[in-house]
Amino acid sequence: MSGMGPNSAMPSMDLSAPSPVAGGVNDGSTTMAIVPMGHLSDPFNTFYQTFTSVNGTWSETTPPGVGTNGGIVVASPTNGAAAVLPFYASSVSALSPLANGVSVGAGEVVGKMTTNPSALSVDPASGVLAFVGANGQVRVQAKFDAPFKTATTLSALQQAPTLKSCGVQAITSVAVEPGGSLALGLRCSKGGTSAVAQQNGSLWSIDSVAGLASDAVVRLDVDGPGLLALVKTGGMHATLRALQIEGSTVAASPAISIMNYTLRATSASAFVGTSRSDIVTLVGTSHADAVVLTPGAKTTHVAPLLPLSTQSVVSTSGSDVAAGLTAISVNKGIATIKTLGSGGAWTTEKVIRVSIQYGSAQ
Amino acid sequence: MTGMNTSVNAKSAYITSQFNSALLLQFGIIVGIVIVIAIVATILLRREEKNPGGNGFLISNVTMTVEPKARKVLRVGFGVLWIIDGLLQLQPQMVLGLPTQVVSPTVASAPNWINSLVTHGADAWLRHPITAASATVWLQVGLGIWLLVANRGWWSRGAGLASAVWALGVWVLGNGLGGAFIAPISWTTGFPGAVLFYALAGLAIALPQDRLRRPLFALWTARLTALGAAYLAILQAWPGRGFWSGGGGNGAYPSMSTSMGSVTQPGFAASIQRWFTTFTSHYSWAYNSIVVIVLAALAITFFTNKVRLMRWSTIAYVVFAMINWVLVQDFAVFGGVGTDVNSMIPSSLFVVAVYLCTRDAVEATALADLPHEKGTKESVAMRKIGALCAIGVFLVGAIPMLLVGILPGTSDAIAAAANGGVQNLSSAAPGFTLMDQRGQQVSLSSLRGKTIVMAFLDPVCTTDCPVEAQQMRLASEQLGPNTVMVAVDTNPLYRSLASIQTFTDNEGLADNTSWYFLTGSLDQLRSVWSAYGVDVQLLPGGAMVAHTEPMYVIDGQGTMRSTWTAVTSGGTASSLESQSGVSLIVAQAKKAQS
Repeated sequence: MSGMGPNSAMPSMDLSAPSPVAGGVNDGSTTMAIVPMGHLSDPFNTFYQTFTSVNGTWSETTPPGVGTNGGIVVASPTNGAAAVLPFYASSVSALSPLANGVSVGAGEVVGKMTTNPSALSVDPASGVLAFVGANGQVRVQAKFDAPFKTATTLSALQQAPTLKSCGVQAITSVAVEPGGSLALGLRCSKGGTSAVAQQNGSLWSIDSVAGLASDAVVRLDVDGPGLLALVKTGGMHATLRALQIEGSTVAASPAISIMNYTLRATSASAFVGTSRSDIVTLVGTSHADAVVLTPGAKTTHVAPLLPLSTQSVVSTSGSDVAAGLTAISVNKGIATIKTLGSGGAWTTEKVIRVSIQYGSAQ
Repeated sequence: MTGMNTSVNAKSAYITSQFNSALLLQFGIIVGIVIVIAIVATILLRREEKNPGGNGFLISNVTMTVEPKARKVLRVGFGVLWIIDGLLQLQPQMVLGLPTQVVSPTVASAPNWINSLVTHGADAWLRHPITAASATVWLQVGLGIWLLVANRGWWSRGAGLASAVWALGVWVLGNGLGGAFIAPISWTTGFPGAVLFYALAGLAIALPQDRLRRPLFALWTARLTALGAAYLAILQAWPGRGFWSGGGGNGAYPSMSTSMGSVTQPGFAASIQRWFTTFTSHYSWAYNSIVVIVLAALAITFFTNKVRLMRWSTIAYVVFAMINWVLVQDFAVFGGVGTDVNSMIPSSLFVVAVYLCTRDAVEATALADLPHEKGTKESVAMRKIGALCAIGVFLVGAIPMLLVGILPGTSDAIAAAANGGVQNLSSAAPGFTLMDQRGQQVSLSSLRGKTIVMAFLDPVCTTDCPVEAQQMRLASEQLGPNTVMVAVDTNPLYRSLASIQTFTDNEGLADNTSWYFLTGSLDQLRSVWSAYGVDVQLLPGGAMVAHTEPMYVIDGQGTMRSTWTAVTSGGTASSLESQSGVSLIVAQAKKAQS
């Protein structure tokens, strides 16, 4: 039986995701968190789940009918889409329309997406959806169920005169801006550089992000009038910083060192003043840490320290990041949702038990 | 074993039937060979009898010294053992069980290089398991008869050489160097491997027979045997390896006998194992002491080269080896997949032969004084004819065995033995009308005249379905345009036309005109699932849709001809199981066309 097979031996393969696809998105009153559950050391028994908070009430909302071992990416929870990334022998991604954080209606099968939190983007107002394919194509759909069109390809970008300074190596992220134009996160050929390119009709222009040392655009979100990018440097002294991009103006948050941590999850979900913030969840040897990165503002560590089992930290408040911070820790099929109270203590808000179908991906 | 399907049934009726047919065919070939040899030999004999003084092919006047006793023990002993081993290979479960249940476990904890070597051999066997298993029967029976019948000259030495080559191959590729990597290695359980003794015996038989009488040869074989015995004794005596303590039933001896006793076997053998478990739970130290003493005594006496001492240690070794064969090795052939009699009898024959070499050693100058034998014309000729027949039997096994490694493709045996096997059908196929990936309506009647291979696939499944689609693509390439591949969508949530188009494109099937991925309304799909016995369940927790995976072959008249559960356990389209699955699709479709 497919999906319920015996634990037969599987050939070895590289199942490590290039960047974390756990995290979350806040979209007004709806927040979605993506967390891995099950036996986390075994990719075949790790099942990503989505949990949704609507007006502060959490429930499990994992897209049904598709194995989630490859990860889930979510765009615009209120009126957007969730994509289940390919895993193992699969060469496609499954797209599911979202309404208030819940998968509604029949899903769609699309080409294999790249494994990145911002591989998928939806403009909730127009319904325009875009994703980055693993084959280097950016595919766009005017609305759910409409035919997909190829907006651009890696080879087209490599030949674009305006992008020569980058020497595009890969498209890592996409964001659909109000009006339907696209912004792309790019990895450049010059070592340690990346760029954000914005579409202007048929032309692409590079923002001044390229001037900043970064080797990956980890995520890319629409931020009011501009874009918010979370960029990472690699190597021995890996760092993360958030960038607010408006035209040619770039405001950067201070860089945080992640050299002693593993980046576990990212979410871009709340405003601090006028800037949307990225919340990143890091895990060290003895504890997990969550850091709020806000362009032009001081970096804040979420206190107190979180247990190692914390998989994701998101904010349920669209206007005050500190007001709705929620941490989700996982023990196999049990997710414990804790909120940060005004006294600075984490309080268990809800425990959700998920029926994990161990062995169903073998 | 690369992704060996745990659901493969080594006792499959299909495999048994195929195996029996192959054996019968080869037996027919052997009968033919024997008849031809008999006719040719009769003609030759008549010709050579007309020239009584000459040396012919069958009749010769050459005299030789009497065969050394050590050689005779090895030749007859191992000849009989090869025949027993060949007959054990007649067990139908050997076809798939030998590589998966015997060979594979022996290298599970071996270093990569030996694992890779053995896996290569096992994979070659599993690609053509019927050929390999039936070839092994005749190869080993042929070797045994050859050793027994040919007692002198090149006829006999050739048998020894063939025996050594085959045994060494088995020792490396099938025995993982005698289980040297299965902890804890021990003489009691079979280290250094029975076939190593077959190989050594074969090499000794391949030598000129008077070499076995030379004192220097005897001295060094005795000393090397002494070194081997000393190593085994030290290994057995080494503290902390679990042999001295019963460990309340968890020590090495009681654990082994518990494991042996749990295998289905005759009642008396199981009773012996139960008794030995109880005994060694309390007195492992006593049994292990005897093992160490017997091995150490053999080592010491063989090193001294004193015949009188060697005689007693040889007797002690043989007696205790037989006891160990019963108590620890559980007779070696009852239960499980018994491939040979294990190491105790071969090692005993070897030790006896080494002792006899020492006892009967004579200086080269005395060789001429030894009695010579000529043999009667009839006996010499009959032995040569017998040897020719035995070589014929051996070649009926050896030639296919050599080809197994280079034969193209993969047989359908593994797939046909997996998941309950293939069921033949003869009822009318339930009708259906659905939409294909091109947006065109397809019904059972619209495909009339074509052979249909039908499967049920989920376009967002992560494991089996993409592999099944690839198997159908490969089968389609072999079958041509008269066979169509029909897949019915089994995901109630992902069933849009765009979805099945995307799956088709991404699996490289867009240009295949024989490929039909069908979808429809939920009611239409449910009706087809129900008619074809497909159970579909939406599972919680981020799991994919669970669904049964039958495959059907429907002939051009709309009659269902066979069904089986898709074999995709290898995880990739290129795995051995998947390739066997492709062969099964092709075989069943061709059968429906005939």
